Amino acid sequence: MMKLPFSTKAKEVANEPPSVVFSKYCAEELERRRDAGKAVNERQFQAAVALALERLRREEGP
Amino acid sequence: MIIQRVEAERLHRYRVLRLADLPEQGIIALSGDNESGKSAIGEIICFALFGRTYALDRDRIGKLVHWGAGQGAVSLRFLAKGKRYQVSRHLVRNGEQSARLTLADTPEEPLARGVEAVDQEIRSLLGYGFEAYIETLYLAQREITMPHPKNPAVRAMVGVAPLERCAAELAREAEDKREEIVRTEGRIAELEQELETLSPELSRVAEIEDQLASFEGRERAIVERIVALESAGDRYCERYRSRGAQGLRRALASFLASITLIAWLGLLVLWGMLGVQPNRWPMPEIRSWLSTLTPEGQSPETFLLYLLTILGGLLLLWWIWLGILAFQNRRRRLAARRLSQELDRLEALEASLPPLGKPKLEIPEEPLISAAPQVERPDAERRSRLQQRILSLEATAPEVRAAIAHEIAWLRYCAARIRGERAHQIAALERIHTDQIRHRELNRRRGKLQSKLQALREEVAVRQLAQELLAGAAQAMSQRFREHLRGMVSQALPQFTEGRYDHLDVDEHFQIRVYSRDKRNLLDLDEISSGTQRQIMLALRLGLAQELVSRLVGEAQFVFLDEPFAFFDSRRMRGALKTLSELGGEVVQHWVVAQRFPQDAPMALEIPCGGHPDSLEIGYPEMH
Repeated sequence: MMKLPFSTKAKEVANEPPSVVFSKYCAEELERRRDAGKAVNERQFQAAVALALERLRREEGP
Repeated sequence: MIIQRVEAERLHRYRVLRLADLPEQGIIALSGDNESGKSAIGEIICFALFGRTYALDRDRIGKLVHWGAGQGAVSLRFLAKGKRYQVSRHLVRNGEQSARLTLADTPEEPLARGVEAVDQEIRSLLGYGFEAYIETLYLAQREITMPHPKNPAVRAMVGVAPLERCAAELAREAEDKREEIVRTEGRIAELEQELETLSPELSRVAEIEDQLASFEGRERAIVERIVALESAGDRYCERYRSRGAQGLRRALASFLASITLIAWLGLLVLWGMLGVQPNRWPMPEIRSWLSTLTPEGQSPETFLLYLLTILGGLLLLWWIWLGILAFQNRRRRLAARRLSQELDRLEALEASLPPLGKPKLEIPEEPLISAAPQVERPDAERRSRLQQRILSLEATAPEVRAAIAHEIAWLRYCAARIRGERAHQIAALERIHTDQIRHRELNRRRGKLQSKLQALREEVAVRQLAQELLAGAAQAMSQRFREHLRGMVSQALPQFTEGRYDHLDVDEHFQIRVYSRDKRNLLDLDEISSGTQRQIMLALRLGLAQELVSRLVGEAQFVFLDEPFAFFDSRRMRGALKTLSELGGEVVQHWVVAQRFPQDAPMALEIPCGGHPDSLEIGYPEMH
């Protein structure tokens, strides 16, 4: 039987809640901004991440 | 979700539709000619699940009722989350419907009743709603295009829907806060405008306080001058009154003193001559004359000595009187000088008085300066002449009293004016103090508003940044989804296209290009044949279906493909069916509609439609 990738990897990706995906993206984005050499307001950045995460977790429910 | 049984009465073209013993895996082939009722089965299944169909929304769903009938019903048994459920709907031609959801084993105990409750429960059980079903799991006959990337079902499938909802919520909050910023800025501008009107007065506090101190000093000086002038005037007048007979007394005292002195000197010479040259003429005659005046038993020298003593005493008396008179005169002149000095002081005082005019404020009552009618300023020249006359003690008491009364009236008037000015300044100072309190209050409120403004701006900035991050994360998720979809479809694609196309590119707008092995280039869909387009879209749709099931369902799932091979030749259709039956993943029950299926096609069940004009019954042993 031919094996087509219609399941396993997709499941792994799909099972990650948006808040986890968002957290990872923000960590990478922060590093990218630091590497870009521009001034990063880290306090504001962390506040924005915390705010968005709080809303996302509320969306996801308990 | 896997369909196990479908029962319908008087719906669409069927008076009776009964499909039972349906295979849970593999291809369920619905075959038949045109108008044989193949697509109707898909629409009935859709109605059973969602209360509407692809073609008929809730307003027009009454048209689903079989022609000639007033009402219809459907009952669908399905497997979801490890349990068997049964959803039943009853539809009236006017569109009214009722619904009920039960466990298949306990149909008498409904889990949900009523259209809304059943819809909600179905959505919860399936993990998706009508939109997602139509966009991914149900391929309508007439439609073979990609879903729109902004479609909510696609967004949910990509996984960005929660991010977008959060971003939208944050955008609304940011907008509310921006409006609050505008309101706060307006309030601050109003406060600053009011503060500007208060500020210039505040700078006058020191000046006004200095003026008040100056006014108090001047008023005090005037009061002192009034008292001193009254005192000096009284004293002068008193002295002047006792001056009346002083000339006569002084002349008399001088005359008596002179006479007494001459007599005393004469007697002294006589007494000396009688002692030194008693025999020289005319001493003997004088002695005899004195003997006649002298009492018995006394010598003339002794008598003279008595006289000398008496005259000396008188002389001393007259001198004392003269001294007293001189002292009195001196006191009078002193009083005159004091009065003159007071008048001189008035000159200096007048230089510091406020200009004449009406007082700015009502003058408060004061015992010392009670009445203050308007008074003409005393003439300086007349005052100077009066001073001369006072110094020479020529000014009479009435004259001095009248002049001093005028001066005092003038001073009282000036004091009253100063008092008025002072009251005005006190009122101004009180107003400024009130303004100061107001100023402090406004400053405090401005400070609070500025803090609030800063906090609002920070909150807006945080929300903007959060939106940017959410958008970035959504874009990254979309990118990852497309890459994943492309990877899946690219591997299924060669099977559907017999190896002619094996790579697919999906951009952010879900526009598709395929790589042609023959042409060695990426082609847009409109550059390839419609049959191949449908093959590609079928592969993509199956990929999407698998993605939806993986992300939102997570268990075995059916798809309904209505005429997916309409433009396929028999060889290509056979290959596609084979590929479909061998696809992995959770999509395991494939409902496929076609006019004819190849004999050797890998089908789990074929349901031939159109055998009877309005009824179809398959695998329903218990009915018989």
